[in-house]
Amino acid sequence: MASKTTVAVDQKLRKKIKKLSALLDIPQSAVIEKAITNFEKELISNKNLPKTNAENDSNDKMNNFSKIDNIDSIENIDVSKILEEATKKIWKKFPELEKKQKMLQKGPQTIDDFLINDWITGLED
Amino acid sequence: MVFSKIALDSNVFRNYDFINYLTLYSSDFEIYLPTIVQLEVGYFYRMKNLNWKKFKADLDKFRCKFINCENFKPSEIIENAYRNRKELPFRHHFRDYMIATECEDVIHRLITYNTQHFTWVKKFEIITPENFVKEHLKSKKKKL
Repeated sequence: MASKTTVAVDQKLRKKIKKLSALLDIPQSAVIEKAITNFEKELISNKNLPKTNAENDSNDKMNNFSKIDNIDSIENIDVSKILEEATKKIWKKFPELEKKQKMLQKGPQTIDDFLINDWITGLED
Repeated sequence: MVFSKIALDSNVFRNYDFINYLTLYSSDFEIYLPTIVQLEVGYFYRMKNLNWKKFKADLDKFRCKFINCENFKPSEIIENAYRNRKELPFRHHFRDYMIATECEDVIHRLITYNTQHFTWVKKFEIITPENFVKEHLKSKKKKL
């Protein structure tokens, strides 16, 4: 079993983690893990630091995808790499879409801010 | 041949890599957008200064169709909401009842990150974008 530890975060950050955890329906620890993975990737791409073992593994999985002949092994594939590849191809085909999609991601408002989470009707509770 | 008839929940649009994946393989899918998703995502675009025409142009890239208004059946939405009111109260899950009921006779799979909001659905599969991609890849490998 993996060892666990406690970290102290301030109230504001705790609320952010809690919100993301609820939105993505994943444990709060997974939110932190994803954030750190993204931060690590960003840091590596900016500083040209050596890649982590996890990244090398993941790249190997991607490179090996075309060689997969066992359908069950697809279960272990890194889907995010496949999706990123799709984006590269689509942005090449539709350059205006790259601009638009980057614009949609910009700023504090995300699609989740526009979901009707609470339909206040007064009919229940 | 179409791999699957699918509908998208609004939260799927947070992952534009997945939307691009659908665009890349659009000939494999028949994609539908439920009414409330049209409104939520369309309004999100509007708030980012992208009008309806620009939103529609993006949807057209993956041949996304709007669910026909004939599929909007208020009485069935209400019945589904009433049947599941204890686990998924109406005021918090109205949109989920509306989306799933509208899709009932149209699709094979609903793609969403909130799979637990649709546990009551019997007529089609509820699946996350990542698992859907895996299913699609498996079907492509089988064909090879």
